[in-house]
Amino acid sequence: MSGIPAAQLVFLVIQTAALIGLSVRIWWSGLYRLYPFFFGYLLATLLQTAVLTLTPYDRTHYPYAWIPTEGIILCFYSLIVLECYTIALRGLPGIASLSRRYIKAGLAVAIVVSLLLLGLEKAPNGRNITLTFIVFERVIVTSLVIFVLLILGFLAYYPVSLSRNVVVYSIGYAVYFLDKATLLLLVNRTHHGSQLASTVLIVVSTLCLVFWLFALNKGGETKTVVVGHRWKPGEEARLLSQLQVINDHLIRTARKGS
Amino acid sequence: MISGIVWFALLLLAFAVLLIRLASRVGAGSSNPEWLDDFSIERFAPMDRLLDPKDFQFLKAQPGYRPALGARLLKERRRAFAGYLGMLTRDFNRLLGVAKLMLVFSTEDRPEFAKALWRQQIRFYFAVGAVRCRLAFYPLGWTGVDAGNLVKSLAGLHEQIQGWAVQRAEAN
Repeated sequence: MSGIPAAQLVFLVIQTAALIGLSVRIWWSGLYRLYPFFFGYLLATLLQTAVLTLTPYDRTHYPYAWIPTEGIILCFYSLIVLECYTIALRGLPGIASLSRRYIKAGLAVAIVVSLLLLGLEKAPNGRNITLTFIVFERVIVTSLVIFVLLILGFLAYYPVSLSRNVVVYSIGYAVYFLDKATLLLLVNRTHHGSQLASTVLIVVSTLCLVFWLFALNKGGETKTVVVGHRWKPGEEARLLSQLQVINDHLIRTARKGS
Repeated sequence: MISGIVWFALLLLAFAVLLIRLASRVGAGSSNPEWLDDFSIERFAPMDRLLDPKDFQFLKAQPGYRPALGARLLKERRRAFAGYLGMLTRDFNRLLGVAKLMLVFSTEDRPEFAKALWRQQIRFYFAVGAVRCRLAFYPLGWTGVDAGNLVKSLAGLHEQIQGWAVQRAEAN
């Protein structure tokens, strides 16, 4: 770790503290049962921090510690996104097959768009395993950005009751994945500025962790619908009774017509 | 570098729009269901006559006619037609909101209803766009403005959700 720039080191310490704090909070609130992959992601990131702290910061050792741990984290990225939106869309039989089909199609579109961006990137020179891995990582992260965007579109289109935690996760994923995908794209295009990109990424991921640390809680799991910028717990019940009223009106007008 | 920034800006904008929309979503509860009682396709009937070329020809045939009079009538009629079109779109969106709510809270899987709704929406918005174009070009001689299909589409959606409400009530 001795070769890591001082600014990065400071943010890494803050990030680790935020990671530990968030892991404890998720455990304490019992949210780890609902979001096991998210909890797993936090633990995997902590593990990566521990491994990289013990690894000398040079070209011979560091990549061989970073690539496998980053690979595990990449798997968790995909799992936490799918986990979050599967939970958001669970318990809605009316749009069950529609949402399943949309998720599949969304994934396909996201992967295709992400692969198309390969045309903008420089091919990694020679057999540089780190650069090759970064290209692979960019494809995965970009797919996730587009997928999250498409799912948010679906959630905005249908009046699905969302828990506050799902919106909090979504904001964090949007900020973090968008930032990471863009920085990786820029690094892959120019093969420069990876040091600066790392610093920006650490800052953004720390901000996301701090945001989640303060915004995620057990109470945020109550299904809510946002009305006029305010969260109203128990809104789903009100919405259902409203639907009943609408139904009664529709039936009344149908009878009037016939 | 520029392509990266453009990519970032576009996605950021898309996320901002969606997240703001999610955070400011107005529940169906905010729309008063009483308006369904007063809902009637009949109130859009004047749309058929508003831009009828016969009215303009009649005016032209009157003694003392000046082109300025014709232009004024056309301007007023176009404004009134646009107002009706706005009301029609608002009613369609309200009905669509009700239909989506029924779909989301349905106890049965309804992929065919979702598909039909989506198609109907696309068709309606395209038709509104076409009518708006024709309305804009009306003074240039493109006089075939017909809102009949839009009104039919609105009536179709109303009937569809009414039928579904009856089905739901019978099933319960």
